[in-house]
Amino acid sequence: MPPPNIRSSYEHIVFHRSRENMVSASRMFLRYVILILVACVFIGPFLWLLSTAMKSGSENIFQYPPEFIPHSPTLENFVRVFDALPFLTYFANSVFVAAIAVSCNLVFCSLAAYPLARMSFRGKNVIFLTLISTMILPFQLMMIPLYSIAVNLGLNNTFLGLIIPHACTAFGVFLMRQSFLTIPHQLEESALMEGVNRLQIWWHVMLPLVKPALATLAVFTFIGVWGDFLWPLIIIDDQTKFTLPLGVNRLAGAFAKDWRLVAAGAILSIIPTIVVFLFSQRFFISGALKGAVKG
Amino acid sequence: MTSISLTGVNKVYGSEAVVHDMDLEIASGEFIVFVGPSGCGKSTLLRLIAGLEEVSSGNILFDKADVTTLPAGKREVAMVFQSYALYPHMTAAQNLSFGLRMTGHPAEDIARRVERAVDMLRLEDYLHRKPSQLSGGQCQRVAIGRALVQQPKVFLFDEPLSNLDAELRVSMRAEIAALHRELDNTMIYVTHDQVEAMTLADRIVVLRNGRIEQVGTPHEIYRRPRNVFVAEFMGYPKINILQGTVVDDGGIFVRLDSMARIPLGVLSGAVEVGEKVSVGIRPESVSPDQQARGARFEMLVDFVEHVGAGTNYFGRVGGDEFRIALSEGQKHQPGDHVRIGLAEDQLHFFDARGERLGKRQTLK
Repeated sequence: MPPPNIRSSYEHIVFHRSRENMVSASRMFLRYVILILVACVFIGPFLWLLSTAMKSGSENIFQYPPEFIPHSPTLENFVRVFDALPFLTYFANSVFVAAIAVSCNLVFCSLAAYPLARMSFRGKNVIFLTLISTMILPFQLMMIPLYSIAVNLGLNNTFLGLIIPHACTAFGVFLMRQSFLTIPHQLEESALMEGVNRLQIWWHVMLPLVKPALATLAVFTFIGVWGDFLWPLIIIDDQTKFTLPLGVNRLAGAFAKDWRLVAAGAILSIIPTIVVFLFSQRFFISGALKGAVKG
Repeated sequence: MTSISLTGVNKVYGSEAVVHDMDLEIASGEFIVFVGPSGCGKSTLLRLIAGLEEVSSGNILFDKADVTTLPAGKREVAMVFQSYALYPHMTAAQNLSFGLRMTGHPAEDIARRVERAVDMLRLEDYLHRKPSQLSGGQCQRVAIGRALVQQPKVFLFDEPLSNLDAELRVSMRAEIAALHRELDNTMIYVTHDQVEAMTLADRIVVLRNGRIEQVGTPHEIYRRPRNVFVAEFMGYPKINILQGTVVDDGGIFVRLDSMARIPLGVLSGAVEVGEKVSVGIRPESVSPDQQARGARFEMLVDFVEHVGAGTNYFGRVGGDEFRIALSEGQKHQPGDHVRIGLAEDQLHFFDARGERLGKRQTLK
């Protein structure tokens, strides 16, 4: 049997360890509670939308106290959306506009960012700061001049008019520039010494090394273009060229009382965003973190 | 093979000059090594020759043709970087052929050049691996291969072995030397490692603060350093520099502050009595007391460093730090007093400004 002083110090250590374990378990519990609450705040509206979309016409969606789980869940509202609107046309329009806008944004932003990150020329910093400073201007401020330009260029009621404002964004240039800055200079210098030109270096050396940033930008741009409501509302009158947000809005106008239909339309229109995010999640998160640390 | 001339080359960043009015002639097929402490301008000089930096003033000539304003890609030089600079998303084979593919070389020509580089550098086993799957030595071999396939006029090496472990460094050093023998191209090599400089170079350029301190063969640099800086920079353990005063004591001697007097011999005419001078004593230029011919002194040993073939002793003579290198037969411990003598014909004398006292000064 150990002497009393050793035993007491041993008990002291055991006591402290069990206390530390309890503290760390309760901290973990608290952390999860907070995380679940935050998740509820974000996912709550979506689930409410889903619940509304799945409620049948016999259920009062405004009843008090509200009921989250539908009594008899139905997919009928989703089918009705396709009957009420040329949903597939709007969906195809959105896909077309988003695909072109995302592609243009990736190409133009990384083209613009490369010299800003890696070449020396007079006025480089002024150009970059001017570009960045446009990020503080809200779209609503530029809306009227943009519309005026678009009309003068004959871009109203065209897909091109929808795409151009998203085709090269200041945020995209900023993100790509920060990403190019992280690539070692020697890679570029080595290529230059081999007689490779700048455009080839940009395409063959730099772009493959900033794939996470490109994925991040693609997701950001896709979300922005897919969900854009205000600019299409201003520039497009022709209903055959409507994108999904305009279509869903039409649903709200035509069937103002039937929120089940609006909810079903909204759910259908956000599915592609979720799919894109899930597919690019790995790149997206690592790219976002990279920007946060090194930017 | 290409000769290189630098005439009055300056490089200024903002208000800070990093290369000062540099003149240098590099012969065709020569292996020249730029050596110096960090910040001495050796890498900048290499980058100026490569065309990766623009000179602020002066001219760079390849075979007497001015290339000062020619972009890097048109100078027909290839560079091997310290960090390898391999494209991480390409395999070794793609790394080797990238430049040639981009500049539109015919496929057969690319295949022939790559095959030659692969044979010379024994790269065949890892051609399809990416840089992340290669060791440091393999990466550096691929980087050298990439330079090789360019068939450049001049090879530039920017501290290529600094990231490798000691054993690999020795073997890669031998490979680079063999490559030079085989290709006979002009090669410029930057290092801060004096062993690399001494073993590889036909001539060494010692730089300090953007200026050339001395240009010479490794033997000249080591045996006849032009000043205290060069003497101290080359050699391990570092040369001992002891301060003394010229005295007329029945002949012209240097009386060292901390020990015996040393005859100046033929250099007597180069100095005035009473003048302050420094004496450089290479650690290996001392001999055990019983074999000594000239001045003798006693050193208190503080620290012993066994280096295989011999032993380095670090200690003090009087108040001055002192280092000696003795053969393995000598055994001393920290705290021992070692009596040793100087080989007077191997001493170096420098004036008060640190410049070497030479016979030429004596004759004038």
